[in-house]
Amino acid sequence: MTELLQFVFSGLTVGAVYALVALGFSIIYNASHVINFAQGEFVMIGGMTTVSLMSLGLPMPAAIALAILVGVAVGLALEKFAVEPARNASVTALIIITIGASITLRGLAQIVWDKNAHPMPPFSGDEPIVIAGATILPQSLWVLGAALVIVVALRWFFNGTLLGKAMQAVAVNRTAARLVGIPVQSMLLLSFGLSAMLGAAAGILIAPITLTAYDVGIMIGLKGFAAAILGGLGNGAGAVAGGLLLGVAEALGAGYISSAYKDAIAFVAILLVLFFMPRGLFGAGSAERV
Amino acid sequence: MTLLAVTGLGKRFAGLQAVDGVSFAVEPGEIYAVIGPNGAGKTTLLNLVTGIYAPSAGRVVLAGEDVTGLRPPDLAARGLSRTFQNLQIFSNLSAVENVMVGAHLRAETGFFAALFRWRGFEGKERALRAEAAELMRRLGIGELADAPAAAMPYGALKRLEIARALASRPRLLLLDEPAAGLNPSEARELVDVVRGIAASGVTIVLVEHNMPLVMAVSSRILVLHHGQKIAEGAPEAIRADREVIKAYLGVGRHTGVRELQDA
Amino acid sequence: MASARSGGTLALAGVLLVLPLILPNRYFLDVAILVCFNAVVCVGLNLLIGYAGQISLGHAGFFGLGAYASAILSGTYSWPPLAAMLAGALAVALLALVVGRPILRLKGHYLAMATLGLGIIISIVLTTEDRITGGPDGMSVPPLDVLGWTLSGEENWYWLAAGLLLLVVVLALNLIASPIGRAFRAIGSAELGAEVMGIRSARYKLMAFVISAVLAALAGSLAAHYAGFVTPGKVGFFHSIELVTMVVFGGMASTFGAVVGAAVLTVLPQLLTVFKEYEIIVFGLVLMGTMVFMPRGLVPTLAGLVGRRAG
Repeated sequence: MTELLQFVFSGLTVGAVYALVALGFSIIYNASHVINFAQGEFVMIGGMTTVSLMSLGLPMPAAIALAILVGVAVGLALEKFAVEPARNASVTALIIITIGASITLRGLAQIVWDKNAHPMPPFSGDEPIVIAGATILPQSLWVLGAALVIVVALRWFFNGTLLGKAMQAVAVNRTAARLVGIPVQSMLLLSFGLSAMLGAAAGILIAPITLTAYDVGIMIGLKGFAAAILGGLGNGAGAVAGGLLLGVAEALGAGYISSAYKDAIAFVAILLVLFFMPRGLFGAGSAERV
Repeated sequence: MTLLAVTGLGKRFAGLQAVDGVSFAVEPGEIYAVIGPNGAGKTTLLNLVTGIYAPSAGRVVLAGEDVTGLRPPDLAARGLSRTFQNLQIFSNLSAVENVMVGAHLRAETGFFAALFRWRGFEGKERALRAEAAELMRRLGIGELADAPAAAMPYGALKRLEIARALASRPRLLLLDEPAAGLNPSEARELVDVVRGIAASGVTIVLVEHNMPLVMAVSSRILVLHHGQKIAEGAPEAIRADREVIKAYLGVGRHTGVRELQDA
Repeated sequence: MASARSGGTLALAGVLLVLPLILPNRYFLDVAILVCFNAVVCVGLNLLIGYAGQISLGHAGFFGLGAYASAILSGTYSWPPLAAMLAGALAVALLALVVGRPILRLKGHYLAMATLGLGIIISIVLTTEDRITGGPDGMSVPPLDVLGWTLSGEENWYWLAAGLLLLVVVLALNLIASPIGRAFRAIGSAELGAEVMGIRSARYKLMAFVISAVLAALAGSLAAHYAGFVTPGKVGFFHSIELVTMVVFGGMASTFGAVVGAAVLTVLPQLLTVFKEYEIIVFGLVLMGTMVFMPRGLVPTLAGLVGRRAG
């Protein structure tokens, strides 16, 4: 029982990170129908920038704020210079473009920083907290708490502000949104900025637990995509649920089945879900219109 | 024997009853039209009959065989074909290849025959291509045979879909708004096209908004309104039917009470 | 249409014949061999992605299974290499047949996710079962030995690889111009229309999936024998992406585009070594730039330009 709780704690922590990345995928997908395979690089940029700014002597909160700004700037640049000029390209071509972007960003990271893994101090101490016999790191609480705050804030943004509603309108019907005067192009830009912010935040939150390096974005990016698909692409609540489920499934698989097959178990689970629910757990079933 | 018998056909989409208990029968050799204001459920009805949607209620019987719920390829094998209002053109094939795909069920070859172009393969392909080109000529687009489908004008694509459907040698052909998007003279030419197809022995179900075309070619007309059948009969009877006129008036001047009366 | 096909095949045959005469040394011949193997995979993958319109982000898994089947069966179990290769191809065909059925019911990004997951699972299994596969360090592969005659030397390998590529291109072109190929293309552009014309799309998608998987497995087997070594690196997500990129870069739904894409993206990293540590950045930028400015890919875009000038 204690063991199970332990696995669930660690699963939820990682799952919260997947959820943030998955939300990033969903936001960009809704605004542009693009799957941004560079999403994981925002995670890397967030973690690596914070670490290097702190090593320059900046206090942690300032380093974090700056790192998020750097992530957002990269996200905006990606939309402006790579995605926007290719507006009329096919979905596959757009996928290749974002993959090219992720390769470029990883290459840049290797030069700006190095190929080593870097530790980052936890936000507040590293004395494990004992709950019902299982331990949880304070940083895990930070991850879960921050993820919760972000999700609630996003919910408010999309449902309670004019800007958020405008973005949702673009997601539902781009042409209609344009007709009622919503600047669709700016909404796309905004969606990349927002997703980059989520990715960078996820990278900063998890770095004290897992270390960070120039290539951490690959697996986290893929898992985030998997979580977004699992929850039904474009479904925000689904993305969060998908991320948490994926994290817990992975932790349980690693704990009870085989830690070497941790990642494989996650992907087998996703394949099985898709075989029975081809549009994810919470995806809307849609009939093809002719 | 009745070629197509539809009884009590219904389809519900999340709270919307798009088609509600519709019954009708199409006899061999007929040109049977389905009309109704926008949103009356015409295209949904067509999608139900052609296996694109599974009905929530009712039965579809084709030449005495219950085909309710069968998928489109199974229906194609039983001699049913159709065109699409919004076009389902194979844009990465040439025009004549589009028509050749229509003959797919007769053209299927073994995998290795296709890989190595074994004896007989080339001849079969040539015959198929000639037949497809001939069909295109019959529909007045013969000169476009080698054009990439993606580069063809809209009116020609509409005819290309008809040629493709005919290539399957259907017993029953369902035309989904063949006149939509055409200019008036192109639409007028369709009268002869549709009559010609029927004369060659193909039974036609015509879903259409263009009243002159419907009135000119149909043997009988079914009128749908809010997913229900409100009238059925010969063109003259439909034109005079009070229910039908009311249905069209209710929708407004846009959808053609005038056309209904003038045609 | 037919003349363009045979013209292209002749041109490819000409290039393949002349190449060994003009390449200055063995290093270049080595690159040419890798181009041929990658091109074989890409021509197959193009049937699936370019023609039948079904994405796969997991084909490196099939490539890897072919390579490891040859390594394990001909190495550890001393099977004749040819038998090992056939067994590998057959196993991959069966796997593709079994998993392809549920996977190909998915569409678009969901299909991308499922194939990606499949590839990653294969790569994790090959990396983790280190007692059989040597794990991350990889394992050595015996030379390709056919009925007592051992294939060695870059020249001989080149003729084998080039011959195979030419054969695969000709067969692919034949298939594309047949009722089967038309069915692929019909599904790729309007699946509903294809179904109404009597095409059972599930069956044809599965066919394209299995063909492309088997070609990847065969190329994997040969590449393993040629290199004399296999590592999980060529099985992973990146190699899958690399393969798709070659297809899209060269031009989807163009067999020669697939060959050109494989050639350019195999040679490019070799050329970019002059950029030293900036190599990856330049590679990424070239990839992005090409797709931004030529979203249809290299060959169709260039063919369009030439056509417009000529017409």
